[in-house]
Amino acid sequence: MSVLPLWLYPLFPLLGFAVLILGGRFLRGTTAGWIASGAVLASFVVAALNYLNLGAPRHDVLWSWLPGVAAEGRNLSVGFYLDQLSAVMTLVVTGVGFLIHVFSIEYMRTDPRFARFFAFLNFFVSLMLILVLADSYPLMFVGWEGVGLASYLLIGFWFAGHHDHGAVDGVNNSNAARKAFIMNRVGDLGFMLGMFLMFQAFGTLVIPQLFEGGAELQAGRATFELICLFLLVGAVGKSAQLPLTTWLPDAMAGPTPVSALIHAATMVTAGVYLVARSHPLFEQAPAASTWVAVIGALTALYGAISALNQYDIKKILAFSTVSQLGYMFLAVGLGAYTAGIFHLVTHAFFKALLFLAAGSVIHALSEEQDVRRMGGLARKLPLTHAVSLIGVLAISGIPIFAGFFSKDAILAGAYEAQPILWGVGLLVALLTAFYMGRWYFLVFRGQYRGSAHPHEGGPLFAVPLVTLAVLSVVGGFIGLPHFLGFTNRLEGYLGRVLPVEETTLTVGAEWALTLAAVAVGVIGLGVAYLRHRAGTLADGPLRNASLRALYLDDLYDGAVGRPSRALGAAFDAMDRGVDGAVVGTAEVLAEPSGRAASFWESGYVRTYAVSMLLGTAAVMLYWAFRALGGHS
Amino acid sequence: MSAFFFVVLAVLIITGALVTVIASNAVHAALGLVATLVALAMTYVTLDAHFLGAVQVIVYAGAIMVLFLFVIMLLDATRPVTAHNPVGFVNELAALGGAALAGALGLIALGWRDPRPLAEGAAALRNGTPGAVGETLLTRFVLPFEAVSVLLLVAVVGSIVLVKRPVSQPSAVPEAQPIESGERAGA
Amino acid sequence: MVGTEWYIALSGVLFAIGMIGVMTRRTAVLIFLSVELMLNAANLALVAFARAWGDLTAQTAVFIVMTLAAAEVAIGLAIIVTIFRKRASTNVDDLAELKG
Repeated sequence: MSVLPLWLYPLFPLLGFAVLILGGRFLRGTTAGWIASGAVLASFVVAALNYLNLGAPRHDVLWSWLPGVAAEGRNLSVGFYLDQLSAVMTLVVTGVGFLIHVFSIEYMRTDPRFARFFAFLNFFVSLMLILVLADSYPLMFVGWEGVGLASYLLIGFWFAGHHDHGAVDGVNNSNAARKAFIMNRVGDLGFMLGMFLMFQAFGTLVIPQLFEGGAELQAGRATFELICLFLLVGAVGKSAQLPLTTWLPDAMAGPTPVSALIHAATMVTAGVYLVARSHPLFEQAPAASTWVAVIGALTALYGAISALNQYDIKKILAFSTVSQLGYMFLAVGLGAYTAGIFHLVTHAFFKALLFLAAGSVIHALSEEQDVRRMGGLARKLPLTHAVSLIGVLAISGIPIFAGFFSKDAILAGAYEAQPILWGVGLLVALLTAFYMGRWYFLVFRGQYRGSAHPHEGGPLFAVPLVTLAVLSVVGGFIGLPHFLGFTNRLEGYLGRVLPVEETTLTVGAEWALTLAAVAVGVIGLGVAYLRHRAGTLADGPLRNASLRALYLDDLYDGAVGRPSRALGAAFDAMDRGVDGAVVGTAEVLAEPSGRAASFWESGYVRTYAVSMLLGTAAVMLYWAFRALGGHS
Repeated sequence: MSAFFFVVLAVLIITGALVTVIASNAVHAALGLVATLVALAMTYVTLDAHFLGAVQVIVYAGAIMVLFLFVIMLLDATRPVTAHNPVGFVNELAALGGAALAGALGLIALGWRDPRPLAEGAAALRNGTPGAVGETLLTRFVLPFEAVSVLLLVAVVGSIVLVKRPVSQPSAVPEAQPIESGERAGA
Repeated sequence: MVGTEWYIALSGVLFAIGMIGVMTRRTAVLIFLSVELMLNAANLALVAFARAWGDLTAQTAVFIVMTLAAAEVAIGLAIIVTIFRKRASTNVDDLAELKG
């Protein structure tokens, strides 16, 4: 069987979007949700078939875009490009996307804008597919902006408030959406500058032309470094890395399935994808690659520290996402591209699982999000508890669960390249295990501290949760490490498009690294358990510093917000002061002449127009007489 | 023959314009303007501007005038203003100034000398077909073209903002303070 | 072929009529109509010049003027509607707050 046309991928969700946005009001019950899920499922089927049948990379050109606009008459085409990297990405986007769609049918069932929600979700999936399948950077940018728009629409989905929280809540939701959108603009500027520079240096922005055929790209070292740094700025914005990280925790204002799909599994990983996609450039730019790794490591640490003492069930997961994205950046920055993509895939599984489990808890507790008013839910929500436990074990890097293999691959790569970064990674792994343990024990163990009556959701909750739980367990087996005598299937698959570095570590060293990683995971969970027994778990370490996310938002407010407001106030005062002074002086000076002039300033618009007319007529008459006189 | 057309169209244009300016019923005035616009469209065609002629009919005589008529009906502005005219002298001044302006422009116009033979210039226009105009518009003037599209968008948004009734916005409240008690039961 | 000067003269007359309309009309909407007359007068002159020079630039300019006119009408009518809501009047003489 041959590879199916690539335009089929985004077509189905786009059709779903069109149907739902135009005809959503005519759909009754949960029809809209099923239509949307069906559209994503169709894309998933296409993605799966193409994944199995893909041999050589495939490039479909749909039509010529902006013909002759580029320099020297080159055309910019619109087309899709499928290689092993984008095949893996499309599987994750459509597969996890489909499960989250199904989950949302139940989660959003009572929402009055049910169809609209699914229209936006389908729009997102479609644009995300365009992003990963784009054959040129400009088209990727279209998808890049499109998912940003979808993210904005969905974060602010409850712009009018949700349930009985009312309009004040709504303003906060809208502001969170704006914050995400505006902070992403900073990154987009970097992306665009990178594109411009790339075009200037190589004369094309089409990905296969750039990277295929083994043609060495010709440019100076500085050019490569600059392009990669600009692309890094773009990736940092989209993936919420330092310093543009603060929008992601706020983005939790959106409905929980949105957090799972956009702000954990897919969109925020676009930055990692961008770096992996541009790997031939980053290989020529060692300094920029190091920056990617350093930013990744710092962000991983930042996210982990900030997650330690959060009280919102979703914010803990949000900071955890920031931290895990940092891991991926660390991996791709150190040239371990397959490890980065591996972690991207497994993270999509277990983080989507954790978010959906959180959604299930929130749903069960009637919109309660504070972990201090939870506890003891293991008995009341047995299924949610079981899958959450799997998710926690997976993210903490406990063996046989998915996160163990991918995290181990990243840490091994880091140790080989830069032991300091490995140390940071190990510390982050310890913190991760602790705060996820804290999350688990606060929510599911101990006594129930709230007042709602928890109830397990229906089968539409169960199916996605169980599927993702299974994937979180077995997902790691696609990338088993070499030193245990296995073949790494993901590496073999991706190795056709991404560079694979042969490890130089001895088997003993690999074992030691693995044991260290497992040990910190167990220690982290163990500390959480001990503090749980002692009853001191709710107040995590670092107290306010962690709760306020290391004061980064306050820093931005101080550095940008406050000066802007002060400047505005100063201008305001100046304006009023000058205005008053001028008018006061003018009154005194112009009293007599003003009286004469005020006859003409009658306030009637038509008198002003007549003044204009008379003046114009006078000027025109002058020209006319000159023309008559033959001077013109 | 073309002179005959020109005279007929000119008479139509002037008549329509006069109706627009003089008619006491606003709907009549608007219809007078429609006549002027359609006659102008035909004039454009005689001037080798076929595309503009079509756009004139579609956009001006069609869309814009419908908008006008709609607002006239909406505001019930068909009746003339009968209130006392506080600036009566304006009419006389306007007539005077208008006559002077028209005379001046006419005088200047008659002094016009064509820079090249008219037939040659007309041929260079390639009939002003959509293709010809579009080519100029989307190559040399692509930036103004895009700017105008943004302007239209701004106008649409602006008119919506102007016309919609203000909604009272609640002010945002700071984030909820951390709760001090309630954890001890966790063991 | 009718000479360019006649078109320009026609355009001048049309412009003057429009201008007189702006002065003498007292209903906001009708003032607007007169402004449209003036814009069209300018357009006519541009089209005539396009033929005289054999240059499509002027026709392009006319196209852009038409677009501007559409934008201006949208905003202008919105303003008129807003004023009407506040004052229940379309008489521009009622709007004389800027009296010196």
